[in-house]
Formats: sequence, C-alpha cells, structure tokens
Amino acid sequence: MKRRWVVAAVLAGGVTAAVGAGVLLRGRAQAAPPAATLPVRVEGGAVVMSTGFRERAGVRSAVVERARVEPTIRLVGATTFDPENVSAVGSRVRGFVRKVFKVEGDWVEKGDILAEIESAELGAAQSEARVMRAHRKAAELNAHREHELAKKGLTTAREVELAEAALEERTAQESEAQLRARTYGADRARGHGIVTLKAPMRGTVVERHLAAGQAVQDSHLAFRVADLDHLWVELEVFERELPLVHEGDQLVVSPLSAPGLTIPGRVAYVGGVVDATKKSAEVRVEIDNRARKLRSGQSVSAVVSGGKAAIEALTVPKGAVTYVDGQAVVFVLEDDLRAQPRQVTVGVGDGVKVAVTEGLKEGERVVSEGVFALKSELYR
Amino acid sequence: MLTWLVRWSTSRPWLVLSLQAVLIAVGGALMVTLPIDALPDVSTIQVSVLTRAPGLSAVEVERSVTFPIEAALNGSPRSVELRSVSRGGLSAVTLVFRDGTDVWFARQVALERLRGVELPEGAGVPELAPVSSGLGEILQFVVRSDQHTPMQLRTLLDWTIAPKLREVAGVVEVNAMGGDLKQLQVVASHEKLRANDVTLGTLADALRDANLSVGGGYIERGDEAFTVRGQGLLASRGEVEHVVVRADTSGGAVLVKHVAEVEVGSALRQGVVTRDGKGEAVTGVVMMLLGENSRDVVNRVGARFEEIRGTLPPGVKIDVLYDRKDLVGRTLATVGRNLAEGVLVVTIVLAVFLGTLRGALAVVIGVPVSMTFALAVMHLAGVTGDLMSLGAIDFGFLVDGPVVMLEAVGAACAGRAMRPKEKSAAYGEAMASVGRPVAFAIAIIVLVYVPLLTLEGVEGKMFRPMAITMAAALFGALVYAVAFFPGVLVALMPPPKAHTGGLLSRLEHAYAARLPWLVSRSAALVVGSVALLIAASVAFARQGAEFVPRIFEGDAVVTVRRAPSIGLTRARELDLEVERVLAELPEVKSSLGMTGRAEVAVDPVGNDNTDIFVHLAHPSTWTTARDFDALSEVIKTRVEGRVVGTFVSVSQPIEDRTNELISGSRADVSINLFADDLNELVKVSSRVGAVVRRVPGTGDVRVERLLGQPEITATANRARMARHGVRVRDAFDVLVASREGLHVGSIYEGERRFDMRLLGPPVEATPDALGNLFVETTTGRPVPLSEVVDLKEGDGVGVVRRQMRKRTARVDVNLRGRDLVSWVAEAQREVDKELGPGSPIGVEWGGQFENFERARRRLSLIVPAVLVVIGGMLFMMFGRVRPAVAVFAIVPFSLTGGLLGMVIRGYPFSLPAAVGFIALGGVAVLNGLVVTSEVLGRLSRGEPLERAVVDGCAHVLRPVLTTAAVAALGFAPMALSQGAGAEVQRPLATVVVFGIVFGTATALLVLPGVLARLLRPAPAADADETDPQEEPT
Repeated sequence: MKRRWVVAAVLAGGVTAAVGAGVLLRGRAQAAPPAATLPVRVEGGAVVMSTGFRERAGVRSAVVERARVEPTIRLVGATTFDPENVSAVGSRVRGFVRKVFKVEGDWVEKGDILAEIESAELGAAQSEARVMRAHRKAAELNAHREHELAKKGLTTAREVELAEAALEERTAQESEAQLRARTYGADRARGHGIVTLKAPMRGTVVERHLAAGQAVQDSHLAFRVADLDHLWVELEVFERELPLVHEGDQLVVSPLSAPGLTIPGRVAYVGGVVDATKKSAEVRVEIDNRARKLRSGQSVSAVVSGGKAAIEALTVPKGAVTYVDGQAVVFVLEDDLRAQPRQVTVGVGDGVKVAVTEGLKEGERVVSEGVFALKSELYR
Repeated sequence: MLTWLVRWSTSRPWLVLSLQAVLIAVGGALMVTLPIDALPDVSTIQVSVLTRAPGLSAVEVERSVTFPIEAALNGSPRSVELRSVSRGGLSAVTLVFRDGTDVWFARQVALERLRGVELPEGAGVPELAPVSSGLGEILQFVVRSDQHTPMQLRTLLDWTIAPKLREVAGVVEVNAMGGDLKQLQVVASHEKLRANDVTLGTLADALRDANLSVGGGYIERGDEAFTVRGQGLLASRGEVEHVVVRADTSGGAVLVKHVAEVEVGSALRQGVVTRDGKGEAVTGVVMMLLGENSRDVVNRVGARFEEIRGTLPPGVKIDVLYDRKDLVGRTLATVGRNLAEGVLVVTIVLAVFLGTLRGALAVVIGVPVSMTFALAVMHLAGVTGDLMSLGAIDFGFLVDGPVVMLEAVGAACAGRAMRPKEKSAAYGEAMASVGRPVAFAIAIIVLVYVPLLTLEGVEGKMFRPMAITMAAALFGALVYAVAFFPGVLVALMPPPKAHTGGLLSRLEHAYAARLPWLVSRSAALVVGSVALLIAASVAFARQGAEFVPRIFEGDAVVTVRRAPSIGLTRARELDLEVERVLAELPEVKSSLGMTGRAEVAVDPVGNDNTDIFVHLAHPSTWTTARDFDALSEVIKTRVEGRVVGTFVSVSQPIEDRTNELISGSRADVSINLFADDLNELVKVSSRVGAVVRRVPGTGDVRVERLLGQPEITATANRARMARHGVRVRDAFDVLVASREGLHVGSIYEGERRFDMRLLGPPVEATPDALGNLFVETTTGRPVPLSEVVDLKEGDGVGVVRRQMRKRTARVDVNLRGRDLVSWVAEAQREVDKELGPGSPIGVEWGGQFENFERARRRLSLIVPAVLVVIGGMLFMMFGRVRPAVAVFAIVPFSLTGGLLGMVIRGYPFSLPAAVGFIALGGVAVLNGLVVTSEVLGRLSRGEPLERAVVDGCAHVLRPVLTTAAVAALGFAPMALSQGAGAEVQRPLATVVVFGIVFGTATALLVLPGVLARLLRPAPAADADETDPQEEPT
C-alpha cells in the first residue's frame, strides 16, 4: 500500500514540475523604473516640465493678442527716373559741338549752359533774319513815305495799300526768320551761329551724348538732366498678387545687390493693364532718394506690407507654431510649467507674427521659444 | 560491447595512450583553425537593396523606387520576409531568406530579379548592401590631425586609407562618415546669369559638354595603327572657369567665370560626426565579410593600419576607437579562465576526494580528448567558437564517467599488490562493472541536449551552437570513458594503497549509520521534497522572466532619438552636449556621435537618429554603477535630465547592429499595424496607442510617428507654367541647384574622383527666398519660381515602412508589473473592439513577446521530449519500470535546487536558465543511476533488500559525492564569473550548480527510501495494480 503512495508522490512531483515549468514559461515583464524622476514628462497629453528643464530648453512665452497682421508680398523690379523730374536736352540744329560745359554727374541749375554748338544752319538763319529785318525796315520807310505822300495827295490810295501790304509781309518774314534763329538756340551773346544748350531744370546730368568737335543732327539727344532726389521703382506684379497691392501701400525697397539696405517708399500707381508677354502689371513706387542709395535702372526687390490687405486677428509669434502629425500646433501654457499642445488653424503672417484663425483665445499664453524641445517630448 | 571495449583498452595501455596523443594533437590543430568570434551571430540571412534617389521625398521614393524593387523581389525563392524603409532620398528594401540559405545564392537571386527594374531618372542604380551581418562592424577608427582641414581628412580617408583597408582579406567594406565630402562647385549668380543672358540650363549643358573624352577609332600609317583620342576632361578649377558658355554677340565668349564662382566646397550634408563633446570628426567603420573569422580579420586589419600609419602625411593620426579584438580577446579570456579554473578545480577536487593525483590526472586528460570531438563537430557544423559554444562547456560533466570508473577501481583494487597483467585484468573488471551505468548516464546527458537543436529564431541561433558543442563534447567524454580511460588508467596509476580514511570515510560511516532511519522516513522525505518543489516554483515564478540576458560587450552605444523635424545643426549642438554629459562619467573613456547618414548612405536613417559610440573603462574600475544595466540607467537619466529633446536608449555595438538588421524591437510587445493609406495608419496607430494605454499593466507606450518631416513642397502649377512658357524641368532644376546642386560631371585628380555640381543658391535659405529664384521661360524672360509653382510649407511624411508589401506603423509597449500573456490577451480584445469587426487594418503582435511565445511553444515540446528521453533511457538501462521511476523521480527534485538557486541569486527566468534546467535533468539522473545500479547489482547477487539499499548507497557515496562536487564546482567559476559573456553563463551555471547539489542530496537522502519501497519484492499482481499505466513490459 505504501508503495502505491510513493508512486503517487513521485507522479505528484512530476506534475508539479510540469506545472511549475508552465508557470515559469508564461513569462512576466520586468518592472521598469518609474518615470517620475524625469525633469519633464507628458501627462494627459500636456508636457509638464520642471523649472530646470524650462531654463535649459529656453522656453519663453508670449500672449495671444489681437493685432494687425500685414501680409507681405515680395516683388521685383527696377528703378527708373521720375518722368516729372527728368528732362532731355536735344541739339536743335545740325552743326558741330564747339564746347561741352557739363558732364555726367554735374549738378546744374535751371538755365545753366551745358554745351555750345556751332551751326551753319543757325548762321544762315541769323543772316536771313538780318536780311529780313533790312527788308522790313525798307518796307517800313516806304510805307511811311507813301502815307506822307498820300496825306499830301501825291499818290493814290492803292499805292499806300500796296506799301502797307509789303510792310506786313516783310514783318512776317522777319519774325519768321527771327523765330527760326531763336528755335535753333541762337544765343546772340555768344556770337553768330552759336547754339547753347541750357539746363531746363535743376538736377544732375545723368546722360551726355556730346563731345567737342562732334557733328550733331538736329534730332540729337544731347543731355538728360534728372532730379535724383526723386526716383520711381517700376515693379512687376504678376496677376495673382495684383489684388494685394493698392495705391498708397507702404513698402520697403532693397537693391538686389545689397539685400540688407532698405529704403521706404509708397505705391503711387497700380497699372491697369496686364502685359501680354510679361504676364504682369506695372506698379509704380515713388522713392525719396535724397540719400542717393539707389541708382536708376537698378534691380530691386520690394516687400509690400500692410496696406489694405492687412487684417485684425488673434496673433502669436511665428516661432510658436509647429507641426505635429501634419497639424499646425501651438503649446498653450496652462500654468508656468504645463504646456498643452493645441491644434490651430493658421492664417496669414507677416514674418514676425502669424494670425491664428481657430483654436486660441485672446489672452492665453503660448510658448514662443523652445517649442522644439516641447515637441520632442511628444515624440518620446 | 562496452565490457569488451573496456577490456580491449586495459590490455593495450600504450596503444591507447599514443592514440590519445594523436587525438589531442588533432584537437590542438582544430582549435587553432576554429573561427572565433565573441558572440553567435543571430542576424538573419538577408539581402538589402539600397537605392539613392536624391531630392525625392519619402512618399515619392516609396512610389517610384521602393514599389518596383519590391515587386521584382517579391516571391524570391527561399525568401521569408520582404520589408522596406523609404525615406527622403533613400530606399532600402530588405529581403530576408530562410535560415541556412547560402548568402551568395540569396544575392544572386536578388540581383537577377533586380535586372529588369525600371527606376525613374535621377534615382541611382540599386545596390546590394555589403555581405555582412550583425557581427560585421569589427573596427571603428577616427582620422584626426591638427594641421589638416576636415575636408582633407575625409579625402585622405576616402582615397588613401579606405582603399588600402578594403584590400585586406575578409574586409568587405569601409564606410566613411564625417568631415566634408569634397566637391567642385560652380556657384552661379542669378544676377550675372541674367546680365549675360545665360540660363541655368545652358550653363549646366555647357559644363556637361565641356568635360568628356572620346575615342575616334584608329588610323593606319605604314604598318602601324594610331589610336585617335579626344581628350577634354576638365582637370582643374581654372579649366572649369574658362569653359565657354555661349558666344557673345560681339564675337567674344561668355565664360563660366563671367557668370559663376568656381570653388571647392562641401557636399550637402546628410549627417554629422562629433567626438568627445569637442567637435567634429572623420570616422571609418570596417565591415567584415559574412562568415569570416573575426579574430584573423581584425589582426590583419591591425597589421594594415601599421603599414598605413607609415605612409600618412605628417600630423595625421588614426585612433582606433572600437576593435572587435578586445571583445574577442575578453571572450576568449573568459572562456579560457572558466576552462582553466574548471580544470584546476576538478583536479584538486579529484585529488582530495580520491586521494590519487595520478588518477585525477588520468581523469583530467579526458578533457582535451572530449574537446577534440567537440571541435571536430564544430568545424563540421560550422559553429563558431564563442561565448555560447565554448563558453558554456562544463568540465565537471566531462569527467563524471571516468570519476565513477576510477572510484570503482579504487574500491576494488585498493591495497592489493599486483603484477601488470593482473592489474589490467583487475582494473578492467572493476571498470566494466560500472561501464553500463556510466555509459547510459552520459548518453542521457548527450540526448537531453538534442531537443535543444530544434530551437528556432534568435534563441535557436544563440543556443544551438551550445547544444551542438556540448553534446559533441559529452559524446567525446563517453568515448573517452569507455575506450581510452581504462587504458590510460592502467598506464598511469598503480593500485591505490588504501581506499579508506579521511573525511570521506567518516562521512561514509555516518551516512551508512543513518540510512535505515532515512529509509524508514521516506514518505515524509518525499512529501517534504514535493512541498519544497512547489514552494520553490512559486517563489521563482515571482522572479519574472526575460528572453535572453544581455551580454555585456564592454562598450556601449547610446542611441538618441529626437523629433524627426530636427535640423542637422541643432542635432550637432545637442550631440556635443550629450557627449559632454557622458564625459563627466568616470566610466566613459571616449565617445563618438554619428547623426544621420553618410553622404553615400548605407543606413536609411535621418537626422533624428544618433548613435553615440561610447568606449567604456573596464567594469572593475566603475564607480557610478555596479553593472551595465545600472550604468545604462544612469546614462539615460543624466542625459535626458540635462539635454533637451533627446531620448536615450543604451545599447551595445553588436546588439544595436543586430537589432537593426533583424528589425527587432526590444519592447515587450510591439503591435504592427498595416494599412494602405498613410493618414489612416497615422490615425489608427494613435487610436491603438490610446487603447493600450488604458489596459492595466501598461508601462510606457510609444507610437511610431510617420509624419513629422517638415517640408517645403513646390507643386508645379500647370496653368501658370503654360502661361509663362516654363518647362517643369527648368523650374525644378532651379530647386535642385538651390541646395543640392545639379550634377554636371566629375573632376579627376589622379585616381580620385570628385563630383562637380552647379549651384544657384538663393539669397538666403528661407522658403521666401526660394520662391524668388528665377526660372527661365521659353520666351527668354525670367519669372520668379513662386509664380509657376505653389510653394507650401508643412509637415510631411518622414519615413514609410513597409512589411510584406504593406505600409506599417508600430506601437511599442513596455509592461510594468503584469505578465505578457494575459496583458496581450486583454489588449488584443480591446484593440479588436476599437477597430471593429471586418476592419481593413491588419494587426500583428510581435516584439519580445513574439520571441518569448515562439520559445515557449518550442520549449513546451522540448521539455516533454527531454523527459521522455530520460525516461526511455532509464527504462532501457534497467529493463524494468520501477527502478526507472525511482531514478526519474530525482529529476523534478533536482529542479528544486535549480529553482532555489535562481531565487537566491535573484535571477529572473530566461532561456539560458531553461537550458540549464534541461541539462540539469540529464545530470541529475547520473547519481540516481549510480546508486540504483549498485543497489540492483547487490540485489541480483542475492542480498536482502534492506541491506542492499543501505550498503549499496553507502558504497557509492564516494563516487556520487565526487561527481557531484566535480560537476558543481566545475561550473562554479562560471556561476560566479564577471567576465565578458558571463550574463548568459551565470543563470545557466547557477541552475546547474544548485541543481546538482540538491539533486545529489535527493539521490542520497530520498532515493534510498524510494528504492526500498519500489523494489520491495511483492506479489506481481499487486505491483501491476499499483501503476497500471506504467506497465510497458
């Protein structure tokens, strides 16, 4: 009987071993250390940090505020002269250049003499004017005489009328000849057949197409004088951006060659026609160039901001917005050490702040710097 | 047969001795030629196809590169898994083959299938990753100099050092990273282009057309032939500057220098290497060919470094940071020390217990003989010598047989003076009498290792080598015991003078005196043992479990994960910060951080991934932490506590690389979700994450983020492009030229080849500035880029992972205080409920859980198989059920010892422990066998049962104690070891040592009573009724 008992015990041992092995093999996970010691943790979706972490991550906050957002548009174009402040000086006669008084860059007052041209044509015109004057004088004397004679009844009324007509014709001929000489630019002070080119306005000589001894045609453009205090920037605005630019908008212009340099300006005109080849319309900007930062013809970029495209909206600093899982997100500070990520809809921005059209309330505090460190915690 | 063998051996001692000398010599030769590495290679046979596609985003790479490659590779013969990673600019498709597939066959298959693949223009040619494995990265070095620029160092590494290292036999690749990759850059100015009326396209074409060589056939003159060549390769910066772009209207020419600056610059970086928190570095990693002997390759590489050092420019130094030689050396040292200590302990124990040094010597000689068998089998089976194979051999097991035989000789022949002839005969007689139980006992241990060969996966790769080696060594021990040992003993040992005296004799007396009492209390003893077994099982079950303990490699890899949107500059700053934090630890000797990937990408990783290689001091000098796990924890808390946005997991070089290769997740449970739609996948993975967070027992949850790569997308606006007459290519060339540069050819400096790229950088690196770049139109009038494309800033897809041709996202979960199985069952229910029935989302549950499950299922077959083997062998041995049952009963009781040992040392259950238990089952039987066969022998000689039991047990006390002491003490050094690889050996050895001690106690204290009851002659019918199920005869 006892033997039976022993066998049973042995079997029991075997069964226990098998069960024990089974229990063991089910396996258990090892306890991991608690995470509470970390300086930062994610709790209920929010990032909870210690003050130390906040320092290291450089977390700064900003308040959601209602502000004006002026969306910016970048345009390119070139400077040109202001047509109201530029004049061309042409030589009106054929002739030879005798002397050039002003060259490019010279400052001129209105009426300053730019150059002298010696012109046979002018000489001929002046001579003819003199001849005509002599003729007129002769006709005058003759007419006077005929009047006297007629008073005395020594001549007929017809003679008088003929002399009057001759005088009238001669007078007209004289003034025509004088006008022609004047038009040629005769400057009697300089002598016979000399034309002087004069500055029509005060400004700077920007172009000169004359040299002493040069033969010139009557249609030759000799000088261009411009007032460089006033420049225009002609910007090309492609159709898409046209609605965003309005007359009167403020903008900042920088030469492409010196992107750091900024010059303020104002939109003076938005073109009404879209160029068929360029697919763009012209926008004109008036620039005060008294500081001489720009030159005409230079390529410039312009940043148009504000103006009529500006809106009032809730804004946050640009750096506050990040992307998590494809969604724009800002971290809203629930208290100093607790930042809750919140999905937002982002509107226009001006490079410094962006409008948030959905998801935030005015006065809430959001993280503006150190956002990446907080975002990282969500990826832990 | 056994008796004949023993007799044959004893009668020819000198022949046997010389045969054995030959065997040992062969063993020595086998040892020298055995491939040695630190750890078994657990990576799978795989072929990775890497394709570069500069400028394409992750989704585009997936669609236009990964798809076609996957389609081509899909269904390759012998392949078991197809997975891919698509990232911005890079596609990596990995085809995993069945274990045992020849890697060259696998590559051939992949190459053949790739042949017809058509990829978009701009994508590179698909390349196969080097033939390497998780153990492949054998050496890492840094090239440094005070007098050279990073670019010079990188060029030196790429063109001088790396080629020389690639020549070394066994080196398959040298990957360079860091510094600046030299490039000749033609930096065009948009202003000047416009001024000269040259477009970017024209300039690119001009450069491409100006850089070529042609062959024009040959001309014969007289009898000779002259080859006609056109030589027009650009050779220098000056030549590039003078390339004609177009004819000027005035008859001159516009040259490159009129519109661009030509300069030597750095290629756009995809990664950065930092060192010791001080600054950037240039590094190279030497990869070993799969299957090479790492010991030899590392030595050859070391020798080549010596050669290279002599040829370097003055000031340039090469620092080797990581050298597999260290680990292999440490591993070998561990193995060697364990073996030496084992041999020493065994010898001393034998000499003390047996009182004969010569006899002990004869026993110990068996060790090299057994090892010869083991080495031969290792060579045949392709097993590498490493911690798991060589490291786990217990010499105690190997000498058990000879010890029992020696003891038998001592008992039989002590004090007798004999002539040599007589001696042989007497020795033979004594040994033959125990030959059968010895042979059976050893055979049982051999056989219990056999079922372990069926382990699969990672655990199979780790433990199969051990099972093979151990089984082979034991087989060698068996052969030695029956064929060699008798002869050796005859040759070496004179008959012992006395077989009594000393401690053992007193023990024997005391034991014999108390035996009757033990026999009478057998019922209580059995019940006590069962109770103890149950108690031990319960206690051990609370210890938890881990899959495979971590093997400490001596160095660490601190893997840093950051948000995917991080920029390289910021990553570099943070890396340096992390390295400075690390440097404060006295354990850290140096650190080298690698963020992102090299310009020539080998790993599909982004800026958010940093691996910091940390060279550690020897553990004996550690002060901050006791062991590697503790140090890992310190590193993690310190770094995460002080560096923002940086999440650390600490791993080790081989471990890290292997995990990368097998795409293993170290998390307890990793839930793979499959869906076609990425957005759907993103949503579902966060939903699943939320669901499992609510399951009790969840520790941390990590949802893989697929999105998070900020991007500026330029979408071609067809309508406006048509209006302006802009070709898409022209518009996008502008984009390419803005940062990456248009590839316009190569410049050769001798054999060195450098890229020539055309750049047209924007005024500043902002999206706005990109939009203001000018695009040429067909009318010749430039328009800004923003006019013809829609520029959108946003969050894009960072990476697309696919598995078996389906997009996948992973949710990793670590548990806290709950067992895997019940957690997974509950989580599965919850997730199924969340997804709803018939959901198109595929779910796969993996991670360590999967490995554990697989091992568990396999073990649930192996354990019964082992028990059946033991039972069957016992039955074969005795030919009767009852003694077999008696001996078999020891098995569960010795497990008690193993369990208690684990509880005492505080180890959780693990695979090595399971292997230890299985081995223990075999060893435990040995003592029972010896006791039982002695008792049975006495019974057969007609002794009464009580006497036979008492005398028999007392008689074998010596051999039982001796074998137990030898086996237990032989494993003791391993159980206490702190050396490399000890983490795996300790649980195994602990189980065996404690198990044997306990098993021996059981054999001596409980077994006699059990035997007395079971063997009591009784009416046959009664016996049959007792256990009807145990009636095989």
